[in-house]
Amino acid sequence: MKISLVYKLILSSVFLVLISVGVVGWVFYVKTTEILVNKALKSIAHEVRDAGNSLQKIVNADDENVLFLASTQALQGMIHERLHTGHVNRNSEWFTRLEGIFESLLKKKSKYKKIRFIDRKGQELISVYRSDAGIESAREDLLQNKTHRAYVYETLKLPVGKVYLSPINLNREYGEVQIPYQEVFRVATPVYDELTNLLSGLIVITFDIGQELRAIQKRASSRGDSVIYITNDRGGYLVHPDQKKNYGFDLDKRYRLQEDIPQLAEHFLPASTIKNITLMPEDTSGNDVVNLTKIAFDRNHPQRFITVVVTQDYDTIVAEASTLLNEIVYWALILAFGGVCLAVVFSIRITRPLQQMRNAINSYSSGSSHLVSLPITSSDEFGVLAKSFNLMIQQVELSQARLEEMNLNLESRVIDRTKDLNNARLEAENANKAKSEFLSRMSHELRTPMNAILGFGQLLELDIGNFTLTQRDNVREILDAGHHLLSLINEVLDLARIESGKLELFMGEVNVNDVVKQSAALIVPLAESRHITLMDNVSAKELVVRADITRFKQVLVNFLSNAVKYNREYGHIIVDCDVITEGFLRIQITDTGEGLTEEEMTKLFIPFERLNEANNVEGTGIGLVISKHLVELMNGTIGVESIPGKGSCFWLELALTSGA
Amino acid sequence: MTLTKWYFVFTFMILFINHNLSASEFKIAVRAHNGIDDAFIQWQSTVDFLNIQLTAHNFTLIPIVSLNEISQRVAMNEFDLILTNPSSFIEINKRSGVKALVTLNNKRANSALSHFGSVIFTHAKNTDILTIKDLKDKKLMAVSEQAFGGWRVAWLEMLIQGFDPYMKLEKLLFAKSRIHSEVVYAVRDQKVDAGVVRTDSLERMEDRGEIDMRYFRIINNKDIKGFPFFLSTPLYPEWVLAYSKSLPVDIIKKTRRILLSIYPETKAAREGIYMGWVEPRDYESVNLLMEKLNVGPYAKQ
Repeated sequence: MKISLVYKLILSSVFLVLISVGVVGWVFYVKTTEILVNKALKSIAHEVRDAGNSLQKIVNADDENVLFLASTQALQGMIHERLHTGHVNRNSEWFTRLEGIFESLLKKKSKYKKIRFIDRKGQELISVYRSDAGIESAREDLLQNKTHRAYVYETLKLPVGKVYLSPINLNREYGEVQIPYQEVFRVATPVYDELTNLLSGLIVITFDIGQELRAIQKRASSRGDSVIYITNDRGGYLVHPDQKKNYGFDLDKRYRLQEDIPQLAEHFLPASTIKNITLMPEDTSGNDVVNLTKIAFDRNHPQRFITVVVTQDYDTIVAEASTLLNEIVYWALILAFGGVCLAVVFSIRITRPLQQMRNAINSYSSGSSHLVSLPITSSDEFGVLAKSFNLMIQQVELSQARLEEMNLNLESRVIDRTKDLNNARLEAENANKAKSEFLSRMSHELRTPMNAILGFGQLLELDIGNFTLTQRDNVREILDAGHHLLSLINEVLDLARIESGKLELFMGEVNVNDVVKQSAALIVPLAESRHITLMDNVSAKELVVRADITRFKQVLVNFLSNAVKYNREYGHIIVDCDVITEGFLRIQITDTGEGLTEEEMTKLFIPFERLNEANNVEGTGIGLVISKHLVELMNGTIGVESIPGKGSCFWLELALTSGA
Repeated sequence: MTLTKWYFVFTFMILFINHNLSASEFKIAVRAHNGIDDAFIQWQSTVDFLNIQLTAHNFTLIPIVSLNEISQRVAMNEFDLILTNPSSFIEINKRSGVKALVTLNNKRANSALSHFGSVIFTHAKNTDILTIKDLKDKKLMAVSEQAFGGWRVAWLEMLIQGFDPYMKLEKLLFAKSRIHSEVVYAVRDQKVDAGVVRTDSLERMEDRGEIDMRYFRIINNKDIKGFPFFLSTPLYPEWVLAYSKSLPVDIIKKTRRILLSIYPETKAAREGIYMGWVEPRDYESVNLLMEKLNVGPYAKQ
């Protein structure tokens, strides 16, 4: 399916818009969730820490108060009095003063439940407490023995000036938990007799911490959806949404945080140093984020702490993010729609110039218009492109015109040149024809008188006995010159005929032996006149080649006569034959002349080039040229090898007949 | 049948007369789940109380750690009274015909308890063990294979929750000493991943200062109203004092009356750390448990 560019652009922009909106939205959602969770936890931790600090402030003041009480003069006085009298005089000045101090402190500190002095055997000696009726001092018969209470025996182990801080629990009287429950802890310090330095007992302030715990709970509940637990350092609940679980450790019930939030159990181990930890649920959906903060309620007793645990449903925390996500999605869709509209507009705007350009190119390439020009509507890439396009079209047009002009020129020049060439060819042909005509006519015209001359010369020769010696010589000169001239004319005629292609050959099987013999016979007289020995190594062999016998003989005679002419006196001529090239017979004539140089050898077969003109040897200079032509016409080859000073060897090769 | 009956009546008469005539020796076997020494400390006062109340007779305490040994020796009629756990009782009840005389009214956390169960617990650091099913491929130690609160109650609870400890645990171990503290220490020292002891074992050790409860976390924690201890299972009736056929009828009546008269402040109760004794509870639930577990009298041969 063909999708137009506009749709492609629209589709891809829509795709891009949706993807980016989606990605941005998602990242935003995740980040927001993270921020919200962190914020929720941080605010809780912050609140809890603040609550812890205010608790610490209050409790620290208690340390000072209990130490102050332990060192009052009234207490020391009472101790001495008791030491001397053996009992406590509840009407003595010291006792009354001490009661007064206890009372005024209780008045000042609304959180103080009770202030007591207990002797080292655990017996309460004085106990001032807050009741519904006001501040009262316990009657003598209501004073109890507290030997087995941890705060008593633990405090009595301490040196002077040290403070014991009890865990938080429910107040007991006579071993029974008091109803309504009083959430208390005790601050105690040992009392030593200043004179004897002996341990005499302890001062205990019972502190009502219920209000403080509520305050912490309230602050930690700053987010309405969180659940708060406050436990002691052993995990026992002090504050639990289900109130029956509070103070289970005092009420023979086993309610602990460890069992309810198992992942926090390890942070209650004695060795745990974790002060604050937040645990994210592994599977967030429907589970709680848990934060644990330990508050040491007295700076001086970091081992005595309470633990505030806040749990919040993860989904609730991120619900805000979900609302936000809905909004994001809503806006994203609007944005996406806007994006799509823009994409459509832009796509059309982008593709319109392209459309125009395509139309222009189409009309141009179809040849329907040569005057194509695009409107330049903008200065952007499309404007530049249109400008370039227009420029390109102009350039193409210009080039086209130039090309056509050049084409036209070229044609006229070719016609002219062809005409010239034709003329030249005709001229040359005419010249050649004229040359051949001239030659043949010349030969003919020359031969006729020549034959007359020779004829009459021979007639004269018949009467040679009647002539003087001089006359005889003259006649012979005439005949020799005439024969020479005739052979010259014949040679020239031959060449003319060969060159004009008028030479006819009569190919047949030729006995080499016969031809060599006949040719040699023709040469022998001339050779003998120069005392040259001719050695015929061919005659004995029965060899047959394909050739025109007359022309073959002509070539051989030419070779042999050259061998005689250019030989030295008393030299040798060897005629030999051999098969060098497969299927061809090479006949070679070797002389013992002066030989030829390389340069000379190249000139051998050029018409009218005669070597050693100074030698005064007769010749037209076309013998070898003719020979070459003839041998080649007989489908043979001709050649020469020579060593200067030693002699030359001329050879020709002709095809052996199969019968040979 | 008639003959046996007559024989029984005859023997009974002889014994009855005999006991009225002279002092007799009665042996009380006690399951010593915390060791022989502890058993003497805990139960000698109760035996003394019987001896004081029934001066004509002499009751002797025989602590036995092994439940198997109890079963075997009961079958050989060696004891007259047997104080043992409920499953052990069902076993000797089915095999040797012993009957429940009284049920122990245990003193726990200042309240009287005639029921108990098992507690399954792990080390506080084992954050990966949240439920019984998380015990898969873990090491678990229980008190002994015959222990009731120390194993069988927990075992049934596991089965009910679809967890067969014999199949799914990496290792199931039993305390070599057959006493509860060994299991507790093994978990505390992380030699095993989890442990099973009878309810109140942990709390007792904590009270004695032997352990710090912060090291432990209870698995399958159950909250049963009025039950003051950590608990992972349903509750079953407490230990039972059973009597064998050898105990004369008047002694049965007398001992029951004497034991029911013990109140919390009695020395026997104080030293025995219990509140007293109550009319025998219904042990059918224990019987059913053993049937389901195929143990004791229901063991497959």
